[in-house]
Amino acid sequence: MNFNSFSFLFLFLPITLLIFWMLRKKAKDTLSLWFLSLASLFFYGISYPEGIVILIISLLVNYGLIRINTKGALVSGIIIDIAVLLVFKYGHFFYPQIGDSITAPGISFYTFCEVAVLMEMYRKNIGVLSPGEYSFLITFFPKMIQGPIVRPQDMMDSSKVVLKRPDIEAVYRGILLFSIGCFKKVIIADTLGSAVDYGFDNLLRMHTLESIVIMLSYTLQLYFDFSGYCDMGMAIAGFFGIELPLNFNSPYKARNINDFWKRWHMTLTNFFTRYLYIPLGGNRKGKVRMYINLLLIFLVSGLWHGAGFTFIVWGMMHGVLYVIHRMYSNKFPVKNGNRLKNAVSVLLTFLYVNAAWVFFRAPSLKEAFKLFDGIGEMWFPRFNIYLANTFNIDEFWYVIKVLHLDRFWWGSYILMVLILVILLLTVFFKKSAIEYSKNCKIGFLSTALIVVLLVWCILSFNGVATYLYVNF
Amino acid sequence: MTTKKKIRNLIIVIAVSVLVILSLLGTLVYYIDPFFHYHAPIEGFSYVVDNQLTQNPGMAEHMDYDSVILGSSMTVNFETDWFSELMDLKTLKLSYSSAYPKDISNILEKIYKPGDDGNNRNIKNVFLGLDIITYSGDINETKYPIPEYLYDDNIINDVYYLLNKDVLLNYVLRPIVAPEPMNLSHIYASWWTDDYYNEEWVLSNHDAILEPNPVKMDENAFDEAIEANLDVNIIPYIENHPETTFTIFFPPYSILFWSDVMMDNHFEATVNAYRCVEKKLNSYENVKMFFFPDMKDIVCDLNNYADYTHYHPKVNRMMTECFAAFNDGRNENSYEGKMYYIAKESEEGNHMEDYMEDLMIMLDEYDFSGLRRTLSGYHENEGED
Repeated sequence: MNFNSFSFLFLFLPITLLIFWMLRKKAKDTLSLWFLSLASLFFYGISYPEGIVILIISLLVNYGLIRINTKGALVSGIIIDIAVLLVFKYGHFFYPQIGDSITAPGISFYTFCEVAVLMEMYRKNIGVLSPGEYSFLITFFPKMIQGPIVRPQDMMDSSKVVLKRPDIEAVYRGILLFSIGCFKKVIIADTLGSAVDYGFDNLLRMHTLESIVIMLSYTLQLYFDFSGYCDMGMAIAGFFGIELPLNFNSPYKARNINDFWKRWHMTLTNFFTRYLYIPLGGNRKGKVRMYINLLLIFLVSGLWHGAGFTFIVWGMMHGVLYVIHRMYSNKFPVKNGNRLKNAVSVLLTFLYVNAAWVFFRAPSLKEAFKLFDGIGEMWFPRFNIYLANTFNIDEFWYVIKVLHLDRFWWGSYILMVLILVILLLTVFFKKSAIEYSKNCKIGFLSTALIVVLLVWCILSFNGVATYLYVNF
Repeated sequence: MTTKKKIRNLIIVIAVSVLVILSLLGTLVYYIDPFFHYHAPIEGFSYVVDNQLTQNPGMAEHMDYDSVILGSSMTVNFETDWFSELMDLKTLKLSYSSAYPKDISNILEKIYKPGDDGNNRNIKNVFLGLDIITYSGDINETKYPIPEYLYDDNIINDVYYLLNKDVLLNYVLRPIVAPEPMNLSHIYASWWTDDYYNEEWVLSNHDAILEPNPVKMDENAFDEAIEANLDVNIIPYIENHPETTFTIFFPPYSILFWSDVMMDNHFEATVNAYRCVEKKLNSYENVKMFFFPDMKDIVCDLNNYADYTHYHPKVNRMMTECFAAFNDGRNENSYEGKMYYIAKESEEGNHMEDYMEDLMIMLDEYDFSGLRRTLSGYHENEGED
């Protein structure tokens, strides 16, 4: 079940909220936590019935181990969790039948949350967790499938999970954040996704400009998709009185690669820092060891995102630049430059990250290099009309038609240019959805915005599948 | 008003506005009903009919007709007006491109569902184009995932239809802004204009099998799957509806199809698949079968095709004339005086084996080596390009 679906928005969410709020009024937190755990298991199990078995077994095993809470239990837990990941996330590369028969989406996220609890418990940073608390920490549905990867402390006050009572203003701002997140995912990311899919399916027909558009589109798609989902998750968690940690903080405004990783998928960066970089020695064992540790983190990060050389290359591209930046900034500490220097830094970082995402998206290294070959051609024939048409979403295309701009050859390209320019300006200069929803003035305009975005998104939850009948 | 109260009111405004707007839009879709899911077309509205998967089930349930055309893209160029002109039938075209037997079964289920008045529809004739190549798959396989919400009776999932941007913009708003007269006779027709039906185009676009497959397929390899598909997806409707004549025909694919079949080394299996279908279906009294693959002048001339299987609409017309001629019992009115009707065992006339013999003669006489040389030439040119 996705957040952007009728069943979630009109059934699961309102029913769960209603029961939860009733329980909060009349019962203890323990009961509410159990209820949320069961609701989360339902949320997951209804979409992934095979995956729920793996999740429940994983929960039981990990909970048993945190109750033992010895070094042996910690090591066993980590080994078991990694083994589960290897089998169910990477197993299909070696035995395709595993992937065909079992799908366990979100396994990387909830497994990392389990590892985090094991570590924090062993380090005595948190006290004993009840089964209800543990199950809730791992499975809470707003973050289970796509993160953020929470440390137990992120959802706890001192030693236990405390459900706060959201005030009415927080609820309003949550609705605003949800609407913007949904818009980012359903309207923006999915439109860009069509362009990216078309482009990668037809790389041989993509020349310089088309290849650049595909690359930019994917960079934007990934951000709007992932951060949109996290925005929705944060908003939903807020309705239940839980504040999830920030996962994205305008990452494309980063001035260097180090800054980028402080803004992109922040909870994953925190996870690797706490549970891999520091145990490996961090920066305590000399510079060379530190650089090796950093490279290792990025290698693991690449593999965590997927098994394949493309992800290794993506991880290493980030790792190598990160190390170079660290070396450089150790010798020449970064100072706040002037605006021009900052703008150039942001642009260069963006371009580098943009190029690295090509490896993240491409099905193989060969396809990734094909895209770069397309850019390197430096050939500028008439832009591929089919690629441009993927941006011509119906609601705006009618405006072009009404204005009779479709009579001009360039009419088909207006929306592509407009959409890309507006989105680039947004990621470089505008506030993030979270900042905006936290600070915007509540009134008629914000209310109208919510209504328009929600109606627009809801109507876009389902499309009419059109297949290429012409090809029969 | 306190801030808290104001915010509470704004939240209520959001909830009410969203629900009211969605309800109004949903009601509009229900009223126009562009997929005919709830009712027959309303008078005066110019419906856009271009989506087989979403519009066929509604048309089958709510349109007024007494016969249907079913099948794959081999049937999309039939014009229903011809059936009215030649056989006085009120025909509805419900083709599915690349239809698998399960697709046919799904739509037959809708056709035989009681109509709006609660009575069973009296279907005089079902014209079914049977593509032999699609009957060897799984009995539950459909070519494309079907939009379940338009095929089942669950009213809850109708929300996917009622609150759907594509439906609103392309099937409600577009006909209002730019209405075009609805022509059900011509719906789903292929996009190829006459210029595309030529040998040059077909040969240059065909990805032919030029290397022979060394492994010969068992000559009865397809039979089991075909029998299962017929037993589950076709025969129950034939048996349960003796009042309907099922006119089942094998379409004439081009000589390129046969060339590929031979090179892929499953010629005997394919020929036996035809035999298997005929044997199983032609035993029913209410089934009339036609065999067109041996239409030599059509099959061997690639100027009648836009690709290796898709023939010119004039071939659809010829086939319609054959059906009509059989109905009238007048051979001379059909194509080249031949009816292409497969006589049952108890009947006189051309039986399946006679047609198979004609097919074999046609294929024996054809210069496949010359064809493959020409195809190789196209492949080489492609490589140079």
